[in-house]
Amino acid sequence: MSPPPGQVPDLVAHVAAGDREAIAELLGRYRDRLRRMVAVRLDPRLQGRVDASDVIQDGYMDAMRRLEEYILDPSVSFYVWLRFLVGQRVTEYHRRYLGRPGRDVGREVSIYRGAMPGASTGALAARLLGKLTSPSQAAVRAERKLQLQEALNRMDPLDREILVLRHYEQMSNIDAAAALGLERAAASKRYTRALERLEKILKDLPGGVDGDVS
Amino acid sequence: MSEESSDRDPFEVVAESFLARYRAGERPSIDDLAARYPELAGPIRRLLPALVRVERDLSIEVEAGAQELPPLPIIDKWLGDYRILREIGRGGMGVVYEAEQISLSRRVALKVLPRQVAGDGEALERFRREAKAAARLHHTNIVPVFEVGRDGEAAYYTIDSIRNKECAPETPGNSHRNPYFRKSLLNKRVDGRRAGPAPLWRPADNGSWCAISHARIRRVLWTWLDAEINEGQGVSGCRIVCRPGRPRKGFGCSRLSPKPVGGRLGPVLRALVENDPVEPTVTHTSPWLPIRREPRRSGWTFPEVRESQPRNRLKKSASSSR
Repeated sequence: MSPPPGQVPDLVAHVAAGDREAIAELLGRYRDRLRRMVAVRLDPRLQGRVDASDVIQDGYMDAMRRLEEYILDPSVSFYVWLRFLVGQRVTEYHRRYLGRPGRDVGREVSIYRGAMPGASTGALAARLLGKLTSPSQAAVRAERKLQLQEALNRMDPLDREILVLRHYEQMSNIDAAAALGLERAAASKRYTRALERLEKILKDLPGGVDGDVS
Repeated sequence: MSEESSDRDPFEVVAESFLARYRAGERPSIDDLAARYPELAGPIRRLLPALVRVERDLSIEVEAGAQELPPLPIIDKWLGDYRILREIGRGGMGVVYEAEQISLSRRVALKVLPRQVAGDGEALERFRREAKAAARLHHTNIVPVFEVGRDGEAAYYTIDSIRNKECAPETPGNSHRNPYFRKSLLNKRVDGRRAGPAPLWRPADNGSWCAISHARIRRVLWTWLDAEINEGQGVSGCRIVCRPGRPRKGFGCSRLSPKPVGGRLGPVLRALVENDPVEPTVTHTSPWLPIRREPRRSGWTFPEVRESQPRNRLKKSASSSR
């Protein structure tokens, strides 16, 4: 868990002071979470051409270059800041290989969310049925996951985004609020509303909320 | 709770603590929670099942199995009757070692399962069922399963050790190296369907030939897996391992997606489909592949690919007309 905003974590301070061991520890600490974030936001068409590790590495280089900025103004938690930089790199890769911006400017919610592509339904589908799912698991669970995918597709993008942040990226309410540029109370209510909408949609699908279709 | 919760939605505060316990491996009772917060009982009963659903089906640990496994320093150590010799490889469903079974003095491949599988009784039980089912497949091209065991926290299973040379991939990606692969057949269409380079063929009652579609092969595999293993759910780490052997006509299976078991599917499919008593439902004769060979003893065969006409055909016909 990253420390709350407004406070520079000790480790970051050590990194700024040039402690090489601290750099390795800091980068290792967030790698898994960032990998998940990149996986769900990188366009599936880039799979095979762009490796998530490269995107994260680029983001880390940016972070090292701009660490002073963060230390001077730690308005968000370090993880959210790092995630923002890695997200910018995802957008850049989209622009370079697909020739389009990651997100329509008109739909931007905050600088953090606007800087990176949303959790597209295509990327979500690829992740839901992704490589870790072993073949026999895929056979059994595919139906349930596809139903969840269908339910998520029917949702408002912001509702879908907050569910992805809270569940897939396993963010706390504070971090999710910062990532979406919302007040914490608003993010909290938005999450509850998203759950309510999801529950309504799932209820209408075969298998209901539990998704047991057998 | 790490965050000031006065201005947050009260249900969301409860949901966050529920989620933290759920992620820690607990399975808190929704009824208990509803009794503890009677003013939120409605949303708790209604929304927490949806929360569990999204947490269960959306939270996929990316390569969790491989990453969570410690760099096991168990080389030269013992696991049951086995002495670990070296690491062969690792993946999402565990680490495979070469080991020696001391009591029988033989080399085996030993797979140690990830902790999340080993620690989950239900998943482990499913894994055992799958190993049992795999052990029932007798075929020269299927590597036999020797044992499923447990030593302390480590759950493992062993199969016959196959030499690297035997493992030469006969995978879809290498289909262009298959001597029976013909690029010209890739986009042929039969009855409006795309006919891949390597469907299965079997003789029909009326003397013609039936092609078994990839969809049919998939159905056979899934039916078998469902009946033997899954019972409606499925976590597995026990893959069926095949000895590739020489490529055989018709078993490239390059267009199976998703791949049902293991990497080298050909021999497994053969074993399963040969034993499948049900007649193929999707059949058609092959207007573009002349049949030149009699069926093999097993009743299965594959038509020869059309050979190119001899270059001297015109010459021959010219000479005959004289």
